[in-house]
Amino acid sequence: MTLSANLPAAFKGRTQILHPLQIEVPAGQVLGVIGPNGAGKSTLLRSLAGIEKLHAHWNGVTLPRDQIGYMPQAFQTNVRLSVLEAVLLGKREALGWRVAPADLDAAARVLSELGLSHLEDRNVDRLSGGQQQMICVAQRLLRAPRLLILDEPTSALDLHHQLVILRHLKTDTQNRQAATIMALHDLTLAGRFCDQLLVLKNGKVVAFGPKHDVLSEQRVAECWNVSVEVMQARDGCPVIVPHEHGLAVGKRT
Amino acid sequence: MTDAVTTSGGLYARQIKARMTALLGAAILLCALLAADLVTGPSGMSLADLNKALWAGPAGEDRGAAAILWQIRLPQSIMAALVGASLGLAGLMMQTILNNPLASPFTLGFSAAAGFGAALSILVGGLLGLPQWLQTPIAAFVMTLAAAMLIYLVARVKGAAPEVLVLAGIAVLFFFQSLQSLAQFMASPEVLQQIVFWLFGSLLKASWTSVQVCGTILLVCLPLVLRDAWNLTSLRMGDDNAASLGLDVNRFRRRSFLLVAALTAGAVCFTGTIGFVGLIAPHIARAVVGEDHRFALPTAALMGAIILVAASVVGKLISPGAIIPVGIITAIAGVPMLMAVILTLKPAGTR
Repeated sequence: MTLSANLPAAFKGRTQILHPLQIEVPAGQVLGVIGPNGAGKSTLLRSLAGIEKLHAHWNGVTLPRDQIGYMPQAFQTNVRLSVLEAVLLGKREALGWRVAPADLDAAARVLSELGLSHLEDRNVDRLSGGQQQMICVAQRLLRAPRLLILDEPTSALDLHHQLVILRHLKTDTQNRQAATIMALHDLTLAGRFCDQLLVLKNGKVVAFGPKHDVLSEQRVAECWNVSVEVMQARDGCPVIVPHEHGLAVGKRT
Repeated sequence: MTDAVTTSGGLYARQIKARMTALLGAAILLCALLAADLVTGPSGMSLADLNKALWAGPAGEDRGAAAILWQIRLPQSIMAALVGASLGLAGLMMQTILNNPLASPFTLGFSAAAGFGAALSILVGGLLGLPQWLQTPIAAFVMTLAAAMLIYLVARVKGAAPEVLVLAGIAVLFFFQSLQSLAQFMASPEVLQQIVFWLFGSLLKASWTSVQVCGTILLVCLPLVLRDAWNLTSLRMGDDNAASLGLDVNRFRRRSFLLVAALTAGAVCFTGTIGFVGLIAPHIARAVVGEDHRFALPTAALMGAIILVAASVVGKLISPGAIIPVGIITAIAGVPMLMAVILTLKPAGTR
């Protein structure tokens, strides 16, 4: 089973911010979308999720909207709800005048799986930005969508919680044979947790494939305009180490 | 893990229970205030007399008491509760859909539109062959909806983002304010006095007709509003977030906006613009029960009613023999409640 999507071009005013492109993600896999700032990553994810009216056409399986979960970039809220109530909103369509105990249990279970049970009855507006971000991930996980799209889900998290979230997303995707697409800035983490990587620059796909092929020193130099050393961790995973004077690479294009 | 699940269920159940208790407490307070409102007035009436006259009905033996209670005080008290509830409800919705704690039912120029409608009606007199007491509310109601339609159309074309609604609302506000000033400028001193009195917002204009109209609008809107409770709660997590939870944010905002317009028009068209209630009631409601709109909406309605009925009582007590318009009193009655909430309360069952 493979998830495939054809995306049309996208424009902001007259500027083309995304060229037509095609994406394929085998079931159970995580696709990482990487690229410099302004490359069109968020636009790509938003149009995949159908938030921006770009008419994402699906080939093969036509996924209904409620099977697509999307998490926007870091957000701040001052809503006066407990963490459990906020996570419960992930089941928005199913919530009625009474909250079903099963939904309540499911919400508590997601929190416990992310190690957030201790926050359950805290108010969301009292949480730190990173904690709010994890609540947002928990909302999406409660929906258990066939396709999960996350825009930098770890941007506000410390190393420990980055691992908690990414590890959980990866196993969850495998266990449910779903597909996950997420934008990440940390190339080493992207290499560690994504099965495939898609590099975007100026709205165009520069590379798309297994992480070892994509994460080369030359490609990072071309796309990010920095010179780095791609090393290998003990298990063979690519590790990106920038050079101290790595900015002196040619002119920015 | 199972342990965590069971405790959370219990905690949540306790929160719900605390909120139900808060709602019940507010309802009891409202009933007590209504009784207090019915026994106060220029001619006085004891609780025992009130009880007697209530049970005797409009055609009771004590003609004086029956007339005072059934023709003056009851419609006024019920109207105070209905208008307060409508404004409280509309205020909470407005603050939620505009994502702005300073919003109220009047933020988008509805009060100016209603004021202009009323001023115009008083200025031109019985134009449609209708009696003045009926023509003015109709004019205020129609003008409020006209203002709402204007903003609605802009939101249809431009999208219903809060900034768009607020900007369009401010344009409408100044437009109708100017028209209202123009009407006042052109009026003779006697007519001007009538217009100004309407603008104060007073329950003296209440009658059984106004109770029926305002009550019907509230009864029709309430289920529609409550049905959207979870959507309103979702919207508080941010537009992007709510949209990604499957909510059509633009359409939902436009629909809620029309409900706010209907509730506000129904509330102001008979009594005139009564400020402050729609701004403060939602804040008290959120502080007391939190932002699960299943509870916040009914609480905001009850708080609005409580503030306005309390204002009515205070308005009759300040200078014996005279009844000061509630529109002037609402802040005096509401501010102590708000202060008490800010200083003492935590949302029920949360930390």
